[in-house]
Amino acid sequence: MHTPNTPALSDKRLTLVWVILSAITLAQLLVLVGDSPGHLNPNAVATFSIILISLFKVRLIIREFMEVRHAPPWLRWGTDAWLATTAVGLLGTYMIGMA
Amino acid sequence: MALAAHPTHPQPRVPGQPDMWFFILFEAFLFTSYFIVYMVCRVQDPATFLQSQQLLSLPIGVFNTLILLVSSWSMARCVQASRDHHYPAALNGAYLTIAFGLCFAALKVLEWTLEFDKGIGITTNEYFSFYFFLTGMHFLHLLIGFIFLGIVVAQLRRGHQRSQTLVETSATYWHMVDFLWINIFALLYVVR
Repeated sequence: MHTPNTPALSDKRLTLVWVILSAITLAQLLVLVGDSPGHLNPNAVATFSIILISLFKVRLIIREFMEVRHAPPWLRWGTDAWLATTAVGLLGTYMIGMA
Repeated sequence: MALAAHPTHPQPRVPGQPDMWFFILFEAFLFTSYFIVYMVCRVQDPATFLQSQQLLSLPIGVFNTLILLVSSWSMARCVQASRDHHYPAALNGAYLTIAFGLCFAALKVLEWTLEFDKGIGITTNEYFSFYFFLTGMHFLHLLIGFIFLGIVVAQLRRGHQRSQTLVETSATYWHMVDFLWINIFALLYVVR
């Protein structure tokens, strides 16, 4: 069983990832509270941004917390294939549906 | 010596048991199919979906997201500590993860209760059918996650013959609960 980095470095890296994930989540909240209740309209730019940012957060969790960045290619590509499928499926459905 | 010479380029390895990864990929694709069906219905009636999602508590949703993120962080630290044979620190990480998981569960139940009090239910409209289905399915996975966290604690408390693989496998499941929620939160609470 090997250790990719020293424990202190790993701890710092994990904490940095958590700070980034939390900051993105809070930033999303700050943007959303700017919307007036009762006046929401479909917004393709907002939807695309939200979905892509969320998938970026998921990828960070998979690569860093789940340690897939050190995994064999089949697992790295498998998880990325799922993320790509989700992005294409959701954004494609939204684009076709709202056209 | 080879490891010391290349500390940042370790040999590729699967974290935990490969079987758990096959299960997680299966679950991830299954949830993606739910998400796409949700999106198909959403684009057919965007006004109702937008109006309905405004009845949800965004602060509770955001807070629950932050709770699951911090639970994943403590779980990842638990795995690292266990790998480094720092078992008391690893146990603390596992207990913290359980505590955050319980906070998430309590807040989710509170949120559902507030919605029921407003007269909102699974049959209110199509949006809320999806809302209760997706959050309910996620809650079920969260409850199963507690079983895996129990396995982590049991492994770490063993005086000998601890299985790092079991710790990593259980942690992997818990992280899945986290990343599924991030997608559910985006689709139910945030998209426009």
